[in-house]
Amino acid sequence: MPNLVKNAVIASLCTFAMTMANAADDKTYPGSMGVKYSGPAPVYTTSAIGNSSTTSWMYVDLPAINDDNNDIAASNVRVIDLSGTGNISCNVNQAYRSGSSFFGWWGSTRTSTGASSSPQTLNTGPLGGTNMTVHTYFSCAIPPKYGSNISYIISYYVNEG
Amino acid sequence: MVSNQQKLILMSVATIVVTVIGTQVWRTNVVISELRREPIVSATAASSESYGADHDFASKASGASVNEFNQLKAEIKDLKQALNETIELRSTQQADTSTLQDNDAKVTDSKIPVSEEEEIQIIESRQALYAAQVMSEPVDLEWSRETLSQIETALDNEELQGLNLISSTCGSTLCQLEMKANDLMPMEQSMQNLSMQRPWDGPTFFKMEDNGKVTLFFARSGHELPNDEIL
Repeated sequence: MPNLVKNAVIASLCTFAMTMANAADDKTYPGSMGVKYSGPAPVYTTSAIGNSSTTSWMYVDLPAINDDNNDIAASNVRVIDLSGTGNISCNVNQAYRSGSSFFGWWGSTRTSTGASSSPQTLNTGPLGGTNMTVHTYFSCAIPPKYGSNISYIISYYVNEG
Repeated sequence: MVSNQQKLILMSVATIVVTVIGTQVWRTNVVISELRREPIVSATAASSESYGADHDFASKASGASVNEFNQLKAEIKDLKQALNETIELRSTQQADTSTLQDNDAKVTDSKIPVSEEEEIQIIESRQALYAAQVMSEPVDLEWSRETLSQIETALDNEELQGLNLISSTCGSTLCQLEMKANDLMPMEQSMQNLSMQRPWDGPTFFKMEDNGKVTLFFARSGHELPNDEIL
């Protein structure tokens, strides 16, 4: 009999531990959620967003959900940089509007290197420290097409801690 | 609203409780059915007596039945106690779950500042913290000169020409810039361009007022903006 109760308690504790282990708030968004704010029209493939212009850079904002009112513990952007002349650069940002002012934070800019069909992960790092109802987004620059090679943002990731 | 995690906990607790109670009920039924079989055993003993078995056997059988009955009675008592413990455990688990839900609600509440005024206070205190840091830390002349030179060069860029540099102050890990938007480009567009084409790499705080005044604090590459924990 005591074994039965013991097993029940152990099962409860295991369930609780598993639940707590999953408490971290991780989200990965497809690149196609990006919104171009400057440059040519984007192209998409398997939900990655790319710049097919041969001459112009494309600038996009990548929105992220702040559902925990928490600060960003970690973030990154996965990209395919196929340009031999330019690199993809991204930073994570938070902004807040109050009265007649915008406030916010820009994270460090991270840039891809070289040209490769393998994805690169730009670790845009943590940001914040305020627990405010800010909105979160990444800003990225994608270089023009290099020959027939288009550079893409595949996805982006945010961990709210 | 009950979150998915809370639902998972409640479902797990409910499953465990149902399993435990089910097991207890099953065991109790087994004992009861055994008890019910007891008179049959006695009848069999009586029957064997009628076929000429001696009274000692009947008496032994009867004595054994009494012992067994007492044993089963004790077992039922144990089972009742265990059942009560299980019920208590279930109550405790339910209470714990409620406490967790309450605590979760409190944590969630504590993450949301009460009012917009409070959020403005947070921002203003941050800005004051950054300003205090710039003023208090020693000046790294070489880094300061190099950084400001890069900023002036960058502001000559066509995409940043909507901003005029008014003043700049750098320490050894942090700089403060005051800028003013002009009519060459909308301030919002200039700031959007600056966020991507800034000539520094470190994390940055910005305040952009509708009257065109822009305040920026940025950390030296490899450094973070000061936070409350530093104080």
